[in-house]
Amino acid sequence: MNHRTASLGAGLGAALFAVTASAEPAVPAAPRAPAMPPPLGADAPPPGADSTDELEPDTKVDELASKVSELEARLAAQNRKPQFPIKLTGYGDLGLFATQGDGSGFRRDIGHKVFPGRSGFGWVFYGDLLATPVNSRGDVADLGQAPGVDRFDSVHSQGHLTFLVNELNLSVDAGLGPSALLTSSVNFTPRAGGDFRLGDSFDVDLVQLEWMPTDDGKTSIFVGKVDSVLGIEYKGRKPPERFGITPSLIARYTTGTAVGLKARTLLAGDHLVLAAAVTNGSFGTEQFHFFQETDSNNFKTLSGRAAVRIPIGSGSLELGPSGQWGTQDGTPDGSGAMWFVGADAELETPRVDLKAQWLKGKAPGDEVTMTYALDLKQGGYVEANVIVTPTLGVLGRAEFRDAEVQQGMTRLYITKNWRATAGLRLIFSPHAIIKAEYCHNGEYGGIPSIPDDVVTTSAVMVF
Amino acid sequence: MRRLHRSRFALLAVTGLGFTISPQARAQPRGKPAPATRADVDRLDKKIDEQQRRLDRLVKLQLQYLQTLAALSEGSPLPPVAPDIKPPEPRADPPRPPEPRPLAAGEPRPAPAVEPRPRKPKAELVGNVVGKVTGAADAVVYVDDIVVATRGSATMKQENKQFFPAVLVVQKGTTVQFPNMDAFFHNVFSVTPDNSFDLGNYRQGESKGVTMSKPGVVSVYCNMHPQMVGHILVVPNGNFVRAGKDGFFRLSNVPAGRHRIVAWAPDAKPVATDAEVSEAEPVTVEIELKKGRGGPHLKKDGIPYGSYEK
Repeated sequence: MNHRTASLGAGLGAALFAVTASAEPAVPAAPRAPAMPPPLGADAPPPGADSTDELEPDTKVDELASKVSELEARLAAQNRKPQFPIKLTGYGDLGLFATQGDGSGFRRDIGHKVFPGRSGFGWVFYGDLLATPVNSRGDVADLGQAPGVDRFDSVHSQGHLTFLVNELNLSVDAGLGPSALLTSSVNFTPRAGGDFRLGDSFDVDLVQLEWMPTDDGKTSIFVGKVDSVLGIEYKGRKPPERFGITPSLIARYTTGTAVGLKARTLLAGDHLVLAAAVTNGSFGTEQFHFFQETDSNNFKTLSGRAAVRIPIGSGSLELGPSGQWGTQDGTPDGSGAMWFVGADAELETPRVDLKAQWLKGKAPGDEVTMTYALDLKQGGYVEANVIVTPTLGVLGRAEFRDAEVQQGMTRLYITKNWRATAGLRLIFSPHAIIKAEYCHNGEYGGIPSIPDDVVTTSAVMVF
Repeated sequence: MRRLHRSRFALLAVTGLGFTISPQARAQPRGKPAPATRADVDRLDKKIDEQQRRLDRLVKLQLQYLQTLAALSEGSPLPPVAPDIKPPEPRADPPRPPEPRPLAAGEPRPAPAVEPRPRKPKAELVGNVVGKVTGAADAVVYVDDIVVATRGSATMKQENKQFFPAVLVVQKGTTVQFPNMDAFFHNVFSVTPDNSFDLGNYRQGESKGVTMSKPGVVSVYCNMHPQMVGHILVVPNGNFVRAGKDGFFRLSNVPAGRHRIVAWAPDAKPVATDAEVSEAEPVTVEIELKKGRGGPHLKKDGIPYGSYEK
């Protein structure tokens, strides 16, 4: 190697060093390549040769990484389960219906020709005001022309084929911890107006706080506008839960919601179901005569149900009595008690659900406040729900109602009505259900026949 | 002489060039608005050293791992290394570490100090674990620290508003199918961390599956029917057995060495214990489970079901 070459090389090296040395702080330094591991058996350090000093930082890093992972997992879990999770659900229920006659289910006994023995009453009617329900709310096709009253006839179809938005429902469920649940349900009902009035309305049909104080979650205490404890029909009163469309003839007494307190518990290995309630008034439906949301008297209404649940094969049978007692809604203190007693049974199997319910009751009414009196001699139904295929379901129901309703000596309604209902249900998904029903109404006990059969459909869209 | 002058000149020229360039380089740091300080350089150097040390350690551990595998496989062909096979647990040689204590499942174990095992044919390195589980019925016992995934399948039916079987034991990697046998909709879900899923609503005759990728207990529910409760125990390998009604069990063909043996039963927390398995004679363990209170569970969105759905 000559001097020239050596000098040139040294000069280049020095120059490059100078360049790199001066540029180093500004240019991100690339990590040094790891040294190649020595071949097996060569001068490799013995296993476990890492000194404690070398391991410490890594151990710390591992610890930190582990802690970070743990915190991330907890954060993810926290994000998955918000402290007060809220669920917004609801449904839209659109129907199309047609009825015989003028859509009403009663007639006036003109000149007391049918019931001459009741000539003491100003007006006597026979049939049933609520015999022509067209949806799950129990709205009737038409309330007819009854003299002496001004009723809000929200559908008023007069017997014509009619589309109807039965109900738009909005429900909010909020978990207030693992043992408390707020349930609310509001129905929006677009209806016919008139005389410059809108017929549309909304109805808060349920606002209840449910607290489950026991660890097993089998006891609940409810406060608010709570579900009924009478019978079993209230459990399927909403269109997505109801197998068919129309309520039974006794639903008007048992499927409403009332304001107050309620408790329910499952005992003896879930074989015994007990429920009790203290409410302002009865569990009648809001549209009917025998319900008042607030109270006009100090005595509250007491209700209860006791049922036995027996496993049968792959199904179960639940049966028991229920009842209600309290000063009648709408009457002042000191008025007589309104009461109901009944019994129900339900056999649930994987494909067939058989239900039966019977009810009897009385309410004295009040002539001063013109509150209606009731003599429900008896009423009841037997219903079969059959799941033919996962999509197709078939319903059959037979029922009757024998009752008299009177308002002082002014008005009297005499009902001896029976009904046979057949229905189909198509479930396309849990979000899309279509139902159709035919209800044949008949009269017995000397009451003239009224043409008031109903054919109705319902498309329920659940979200 | 002229040659010597030329070469000196060249050296000076290049050196001068170098010094001329270097201030420019210092004056124009690429993309860095502020000039780097000595502290920055020191910090970077420190980081580089740290990275270098980690890489060195990683290479060393890899080497040790390979050496251990080579030692193990002497006399028998080296098995294919599954990506999720953990390195074998260390043999406990004297002086032994502190006495084994029951470990809660999932509790991290100390990092193993890997050491080559004695060179023996692999076929002989198996033993049996026998013992008894007390405190809960229907217990399952498994080896926790060997991970061997499978691609098998299993079925948990939804029938009569129940899961059947209500308890299923599967190996990690198994796909569990949930066919709906009922004439109504079900919605199977789990919120178990690492194994959470929501199969949505589906009708009779349809089935959906989930691959169980993480070992552990997976609690399975239906969002519509609160009475439907199922448990899937995902075990990390094929070494598991159901204890008899009397609680006794026998785990056969467990690789020799120190292993973590776990017992679990429905509504009880898993309990683990260490066992030194040898080919000489079965090792005996006794595990006590504590049955918890099987309280109500929540819906998939964290909301209670409400008593009327029970």
